[in-house]
Amino acid sequence: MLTIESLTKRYGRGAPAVDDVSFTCAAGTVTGFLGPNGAGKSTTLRMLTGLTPPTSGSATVLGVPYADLPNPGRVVGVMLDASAQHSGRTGRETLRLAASLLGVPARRADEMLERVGLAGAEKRRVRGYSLGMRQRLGIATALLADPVALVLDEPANGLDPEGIRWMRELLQEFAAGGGTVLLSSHLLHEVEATVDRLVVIGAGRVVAQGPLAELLAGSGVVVRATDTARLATALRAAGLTPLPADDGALRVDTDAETVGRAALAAGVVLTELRAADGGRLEDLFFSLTSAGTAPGRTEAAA
Amino acid sequence: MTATTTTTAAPQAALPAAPRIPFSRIVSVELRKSLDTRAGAFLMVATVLITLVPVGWQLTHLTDGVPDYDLWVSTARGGVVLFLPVLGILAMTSEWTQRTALTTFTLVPRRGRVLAAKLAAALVLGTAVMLLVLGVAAAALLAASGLEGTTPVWGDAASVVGGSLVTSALNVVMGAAFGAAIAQSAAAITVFLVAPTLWQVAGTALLGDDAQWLDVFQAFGRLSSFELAGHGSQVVTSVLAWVAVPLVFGWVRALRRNVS
Repeated sequence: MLTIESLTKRYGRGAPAVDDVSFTCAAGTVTGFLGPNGAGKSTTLRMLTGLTPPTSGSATVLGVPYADLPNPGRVVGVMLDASAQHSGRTGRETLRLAASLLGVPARRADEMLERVGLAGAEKRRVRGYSLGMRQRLGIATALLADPVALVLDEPANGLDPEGIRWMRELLQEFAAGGGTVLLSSHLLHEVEATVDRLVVIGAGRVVAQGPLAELLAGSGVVVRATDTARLATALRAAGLTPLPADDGALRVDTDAETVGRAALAAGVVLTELRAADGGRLEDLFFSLTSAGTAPGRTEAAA
Repeated sequence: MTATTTTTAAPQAALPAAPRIPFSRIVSVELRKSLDTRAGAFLMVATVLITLVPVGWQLTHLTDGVPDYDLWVSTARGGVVLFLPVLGILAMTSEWTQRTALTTFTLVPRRGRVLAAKLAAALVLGTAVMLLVLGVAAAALLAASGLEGTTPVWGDAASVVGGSLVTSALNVVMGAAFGAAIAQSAAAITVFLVAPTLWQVAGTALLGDDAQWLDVFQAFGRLSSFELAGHGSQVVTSVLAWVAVPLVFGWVRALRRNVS
């Protein structure tokens, strides 16, 4: 459905903003595009939607480059920046303009206002909208022509927890109807309950991708000891790579028995040893992105 | 709702059959965009007022008899001519100033079509404004003749009407050229108001009669009065320098510009 192949964007002679990124989004799935700010998410989405020409590689929608679609808004609903709306227009006028350009009846605009919960604010100018309301208006614009795919950049930005739950239901419903969703986020907890698949990007490169469950299964174990430093030394001696997790715990990409034996051999007292479960996804995100992030960049540190 | 086919290995949803967005639709949306904000509405109200007020004043001060049609047109369009370039400027700048270019170019990725539609919409609007001016002038002539009991003098009305429409189009296009080149509403309006006038003064001081080769308002005057004889190449160079060059420069830049 959405296919991104070896997409690369280089500005000037520095490191590429996006470096050989490839992934696909299948119909009926929600894909989370995850990475710290500045990792290249927005640049990738802008190349996908024909706003930025790639240095090399390609991006297609159902096999066709976005800019070659005769009426792209009818195929892909796009929201890249909720603030890209004229502050002097009302919410309803914003939608009616888009409806007219897309060639859908004006009443679709009113239906979408209803759908995103802005029916009460339709006559207010966008200037007076909160960021969350602008996100809802942006999503209404994206849904206007009943597209088969949605591409949303940081859609949860500015939404309250109730809004995030609303968006989750909306996107899952959209995918359940056979639609394809690609959404980006720099906050894992915003998307972990929404997405089926994850593509994790750091410093322009994809550092991990796959089904959410598979990525979680590979996240190893979490271990705590009375002496963390000695435990870390023992694990390294056993050929493992312990990564720091919350509150002095270590995360190791192996099974519990291997860690237990290494600790036993070094005489280290363990206080906790368990599989890294869903709650540990944050560690996974952190370790994956920091592994792929250039030295000196430490955003997303917990 | 997506129909799936299994002809190839991976099931692919069919591409929804949607025709290409017609150019006329983009033009009508751009037209609506230039009128549906307070700024747009204000500009239109101001244009109507600036047409009606001097005509009204003239109507109540008919001391020297009833003016001919061309004089009524001059009275009615005097202020409007200042507003016409602003229509062109705003058509090209407002998307960038308001950051809505991202949304617009996402819906119509071929930016050239959007830019052409903006120019066309501004021309339509400018023509509508000028038709209003011509209509108000005609109504004023008839009213004044009725009041004074004289026969209305239309003179060469056809060339007055034609010349006014040409003036309108030239001013809108020149405004659009400045808007495209500068892409920031306030700065583009300022430069438009200052630069050609400054050149009229400075150019004559520096180049003497040769300044005509770059005097765009004189060129517009000749074009709208259909008096090109002997000045054709001067008109062409002036229009190239003040209209074509900024328009092409701004257009090419807008096609390539990073939309943020």
